[in-house]
Amino acid sequence: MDYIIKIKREKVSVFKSKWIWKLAYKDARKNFSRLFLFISSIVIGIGALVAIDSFNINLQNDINKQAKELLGADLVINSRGKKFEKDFISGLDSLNAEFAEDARFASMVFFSKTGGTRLIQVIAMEGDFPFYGEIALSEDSDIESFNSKKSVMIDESLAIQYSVEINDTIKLGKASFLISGFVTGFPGNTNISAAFAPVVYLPLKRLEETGLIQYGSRVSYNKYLKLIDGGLEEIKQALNPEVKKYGYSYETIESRRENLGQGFENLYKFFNLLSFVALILGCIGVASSVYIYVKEKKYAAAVLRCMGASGWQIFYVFFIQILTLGILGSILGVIHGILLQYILPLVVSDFIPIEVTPLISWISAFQGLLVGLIISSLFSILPLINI
Amino acid sequence: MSSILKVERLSKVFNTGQKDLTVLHDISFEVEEHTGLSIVGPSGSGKTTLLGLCAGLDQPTSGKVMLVDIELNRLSEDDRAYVRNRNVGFVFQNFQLLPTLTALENVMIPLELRGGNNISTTAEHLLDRVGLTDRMHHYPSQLSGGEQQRVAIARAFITDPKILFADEPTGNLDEETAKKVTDLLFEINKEKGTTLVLVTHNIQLAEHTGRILKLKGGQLIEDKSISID
Repeated sequence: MDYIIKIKREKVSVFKSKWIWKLAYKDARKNFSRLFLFISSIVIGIGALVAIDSFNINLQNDINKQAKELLGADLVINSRGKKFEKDFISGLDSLNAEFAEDARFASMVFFSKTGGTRLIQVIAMEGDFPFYGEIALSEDSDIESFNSKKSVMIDESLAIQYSVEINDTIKLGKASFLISGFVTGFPGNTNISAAFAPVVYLPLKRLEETGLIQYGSRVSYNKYLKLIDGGLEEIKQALNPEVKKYGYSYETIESRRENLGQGFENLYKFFNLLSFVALILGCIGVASSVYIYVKEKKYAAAVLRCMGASGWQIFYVFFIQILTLGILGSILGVIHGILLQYILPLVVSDFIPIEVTPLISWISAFQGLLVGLIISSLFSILPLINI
Repeated sequence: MSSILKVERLSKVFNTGQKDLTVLHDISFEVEEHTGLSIVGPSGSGKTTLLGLCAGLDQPTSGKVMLVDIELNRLSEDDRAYVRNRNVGFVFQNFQLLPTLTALENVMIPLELRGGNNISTTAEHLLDRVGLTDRMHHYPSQLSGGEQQRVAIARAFITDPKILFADEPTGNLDEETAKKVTDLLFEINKEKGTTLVLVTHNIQLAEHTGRILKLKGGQLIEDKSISID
């Protein structure tokens, strides 16, 4: 009958075996350049993951912080296609609140100086909107003449595109207006939206003169409220039946926050998908570079086996190397991810209406480190076991 | 004298898919302690396979190998590695040094695996003995073939093995260097009283060991002792 003899030999833990750690170091120092691919795969994957995750966290934080400025008021009531009913307005007047309003619609503008025309969005405003945040104007803008004279302000991008200067004339419908200033930032608007549909701002009282509002015009009327004594919930409850009755809608800071959050959730999902793809590519990179590395090491493993090294000792020598590089790659990836935090907001600033503050998200950094370690361990164990 | 290596009815068959290939057939011999033995034969006669089986690098299909009174084929792979580390030294035709380690670090490996003190000093003494004092910190790629084989010899003797297996130790060297390396190998072997099992094509070299086993087609066709002058 066959039997197996067991040799009594001292078992030394990997943590206590200096030889394993020393050999892992000695062997790795000449292989660092070869293992660069392995490191770079992890760096790219983890960097993307940390960057996107941190960006999302910062975005959510900034949405929470800036939702008030984005809406510009505590409550906005909207009516599409028709002016607010007098009964409704008189009901609102009884509230202890500051009011502002605007009318928005698409139209064409004619530049008298150049003879150019452009599809634009008209915002005809009245009151101290925005109550929160501010409209950014170019230095030479004249707000006094905007309020008193028959003048408009236009988006700076429009002025640049049509080489328009202050005090030039534009024609909106039947009326001609002087340009009294350029708007460089408006709550809730983005640079990209200004490029596609630049805005011409005019006082609401001048809107009639353009003759653009006629029966069937697609105008969106907004009423902005700044509540002086609070009580938003009570007002919402009182408004609900009225809004329903007239077919209006309303938006609060909270609902804007939620809507934006949902909108950016989709953006986050898209970016997350990108980072996931980067991570998958990283995994493939790790797997193939470890496979090649281990294949190269088979000769060394065989020699060590001849000298008397056990399978586990050899496994640990190379596992320690790969795990160390995994940790190094993950740390570098996290650093790259954090650095990308400062670049991503610049890249997307034209597309999103909020200012993203680059802050280090330690949760994302920790997650990145953990994922890096798991990937390098998982993808190295299989080829190493086969050594 | 007691026997350090005992091979009994050893056979090795490789399955090539379509048919079985018998590389070694019914080989038996014994090697006494502190003696020498050469295994000779044409290419493909099974010399290296026999050496590997004797050292426990591979498992036989049938038969048994007793090394230092331990039946190797009844041990696990790790246990066979342990036995090798305690009792066996190796010198290969292709030197088999780790390219990422210096000459000194290569020599230290077997003793580091065993564990102990003054490993570096012992390795330095051995490298000094093989005439490589100035080359200790050089990597194998920075050494000539002869120098690499001398490092391999130092590595083989660092654990004071009971038995040394040498597989064509001069096969990759020119005649002059081969002579120097052979002289060195036999010198140190004599000093340390190690049992030597040598695989070679070189009959003159084989005669140095005092006993020749001749293999042909996987079978032992001759076992003769030669008096050494």
